[in-house]
Amino acid sequence: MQSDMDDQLAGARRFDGAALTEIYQELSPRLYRYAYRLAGEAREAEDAVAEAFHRFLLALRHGGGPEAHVSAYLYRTVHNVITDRYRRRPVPDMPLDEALEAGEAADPAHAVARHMAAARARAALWRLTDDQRLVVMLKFFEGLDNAEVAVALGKPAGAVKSLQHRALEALRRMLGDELVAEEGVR
Amino acid sequence: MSDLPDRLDAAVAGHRAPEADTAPLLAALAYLEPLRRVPPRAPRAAQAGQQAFLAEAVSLRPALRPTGWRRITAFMGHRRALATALSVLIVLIVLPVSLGGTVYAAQASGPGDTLYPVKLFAEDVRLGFATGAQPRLDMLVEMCQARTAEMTALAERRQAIPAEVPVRLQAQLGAALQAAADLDDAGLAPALERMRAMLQVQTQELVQARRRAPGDGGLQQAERVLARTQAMIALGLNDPAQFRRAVRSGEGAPGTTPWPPGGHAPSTPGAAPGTGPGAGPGPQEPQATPRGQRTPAAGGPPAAGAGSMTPAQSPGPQPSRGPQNPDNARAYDVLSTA
Repeated sequence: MQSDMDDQLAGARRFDGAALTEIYQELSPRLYRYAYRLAGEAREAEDAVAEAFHRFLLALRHGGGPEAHVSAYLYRTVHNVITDRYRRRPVPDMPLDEALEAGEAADPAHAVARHMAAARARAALWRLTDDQRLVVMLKFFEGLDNAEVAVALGKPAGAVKSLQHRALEALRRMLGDELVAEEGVR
Repeated sequence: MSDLPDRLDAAVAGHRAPEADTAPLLAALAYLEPLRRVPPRAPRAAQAGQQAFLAEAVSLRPALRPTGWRRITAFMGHRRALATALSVLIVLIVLPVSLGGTVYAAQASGPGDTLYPVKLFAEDVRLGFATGAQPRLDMLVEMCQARTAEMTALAERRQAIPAEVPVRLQAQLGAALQAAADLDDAGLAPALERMRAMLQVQTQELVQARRRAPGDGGLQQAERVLARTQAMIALGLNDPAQFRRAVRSGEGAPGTTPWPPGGHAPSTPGAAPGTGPGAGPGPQEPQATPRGQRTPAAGGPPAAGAGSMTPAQSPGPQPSRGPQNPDNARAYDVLSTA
């Protein structure tokens, strides 16, 4: 799998159309989901993905870009794009009509509840540091191993576990009462 | 506990059951679970995104694959310092190659040709890089042969010998004698023998050339220079110490005051006194004075090159004249007949 990505990356460095298409088709859906979870908006997520791939091309053009682990590189780029964007303005709340997916209109109460839960989770996520947020997102939602997360972080693999620990401790502290209430409901 | 990050990591990955200290943290993580669900991406937006990405890639591709000089600079990227260094390197390579081509082409040129000054300049440069007496001597002998060949070629074409050719021959032979004088005793005799053999061949060539151009002053001057040099070689083979003193004092230069200083002249087997036209100023050659000035010989105009003496033409202290050693009488005769 990694060798396939290495081949694709080699092709991308030559601006080979087939290699670039494979990279986009394989990674853009994952990047979109990552961006959506952070931004909570389809348009913002699409913009972030487009910006990440744009920066990827520019890096390749100037002889830069990733040496390996294209996915980690692009995850980090999307993360930076969204972080930069929302550093200047608050994270938007997801429009309710967007939260209502097809087939969910029949149960709007459930959809709204899910929407609210996601908004709270997103708000909590944004209260973490950049690196903590990146680690939690990549490990918990994207399923990357510690080595890949370390590449995205630009830090040693040993730092990933510490960051993960600190991130979950921070979440536990900020959610304290709410978590206890949820446990009580369950 | 110091291993908590590791146990937590294993628990998050599902490789370890929750424990008392990891369970609250896993619960906090579970709080984020509502974010896992993401509405499906709009196919049209995904398609548009891919098309835009590939279109941008195409637009950037020509910048990545330029030709010629742009390819090199693009390879260097924005590293301006490295690009400058590459430029200098290319200049340093291209310039010598083009100069080398010109010098190579000039080797076939002769007196009067456009590239002949380049040929002479290249000789001077080569000499400048020669280190050691023997390499310098070998180089000078080779250059003297080139001068003779140039003169015989001109004579065959019935063209006049430019004055610069015998003058340069004279200077180069003088420098060759200087180089020979710098050799040790073991190297001096073989070197002088080689020079003598070369000069004999050249003398024969000049004699034949003069049959085609009997009145050419340049040829005559060259023959006299060769004869004087042969006399000096004879002295070197007979008395190396005196040869060195004479050469280093400038007295033995082929175009200067006749040998021998103090009246000593060598007599060596193989020395060829009388085989040439005689050393010394002829009817058309200016006569050297003790101060290095030349005056036209009576009965003829000054030879070309008069008044622009080379270092080899500059005489040293005026020696007393006349053979005091009978063994040296023959060489003295050769030089004093001029």
